[in-house]
Amino acid sequence: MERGGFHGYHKLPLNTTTPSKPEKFLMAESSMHLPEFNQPNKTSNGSEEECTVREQDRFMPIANVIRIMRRILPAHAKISDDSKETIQECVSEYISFITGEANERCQREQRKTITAEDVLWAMSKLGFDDYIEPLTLYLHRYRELEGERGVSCGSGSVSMTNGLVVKRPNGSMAEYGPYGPVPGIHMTPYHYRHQNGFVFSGNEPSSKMSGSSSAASGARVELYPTQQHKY
Amino acid sequence: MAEEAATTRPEFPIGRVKKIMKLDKDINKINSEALHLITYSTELFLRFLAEKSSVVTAENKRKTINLDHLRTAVKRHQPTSDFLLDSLPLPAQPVRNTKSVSDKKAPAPPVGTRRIDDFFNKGKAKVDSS
Repeated sequence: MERGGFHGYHKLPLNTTTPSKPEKFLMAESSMHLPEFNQPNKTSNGSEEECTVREQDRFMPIANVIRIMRRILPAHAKISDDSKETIQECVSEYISFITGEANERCQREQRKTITAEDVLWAMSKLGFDDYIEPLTLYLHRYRELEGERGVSCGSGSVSMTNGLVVKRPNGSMAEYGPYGPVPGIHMTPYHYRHQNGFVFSGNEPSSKMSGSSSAASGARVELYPTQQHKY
Repeated sequence: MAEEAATTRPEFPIGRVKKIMKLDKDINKINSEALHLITYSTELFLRFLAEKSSVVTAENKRKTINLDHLRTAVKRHQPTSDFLLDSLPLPAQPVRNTKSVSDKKAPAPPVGTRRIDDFFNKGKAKVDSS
């Protein structure tokens, strides 16, 4: 289909507006590619999309949104189409809102990386105190799992194998039944992507939420005997 | 066990959350923990919206959640209302892809152009007459 349409404006601006130097423009033209515009997730649509983000990148996938809602809603409930889309937008607004606030705090303290503490602080400041407790719990679990996953943290390395033998920080070995560290195994391929380039290492005693770092590792050790008893 | 896994595995795609965060040029780097927390808190927020909206729907003796129910639910929670109320479409405003509204009003063609179906209609008339 001819993308020029009535107006024919789609193609020309790509070649004329952005290159700042004429020489660069000529070279770009001759080499027949425009690296400035090359973004992996764009198709070769018109220029109106060059400056905008695709809609699907601005929002959470509607399927996920609906799935999560359905768990909360009564079985017979329906959601109008415009509500679904509006809720998608609300979700994105929320993300931007919280992130913006967390980022402000981060910048005020002259750091460059938004941390969990920044996020929790933002929650509290913006009035979402109700979320702080479940988030804190989530963060504990996340840190425990990250600690299990073989991030070497001074006190002792832990490794996960298929045989599910885990070395605890205090040096003793413990073997667990097939269901023991399953959450950890589930998390392994998932979290691995995020490991690179990120600041956090599981055992840093920076957590104010758990009270003290020894409490955190104490909590970790406590967890295992419970699992052992179960399985 | 399944419960534990659920509390640490987010339902939303983390990559997408990160993209949305990065739409704001001021955002530099995000720690992995922070990203997970925001993802999980977004799920909590969505659940909250769903729950409160369905309460309003039930109050109105309806089964389908519509925008008015959503708006009422947002208004009832002050922190949410503060940042979200203005973002909600006004009662008469069409939401971006909703077909029902576009059926009612066809947008006027830009100045100097005409609708393509006008062209086809006239062409057809010509063919018939010749």
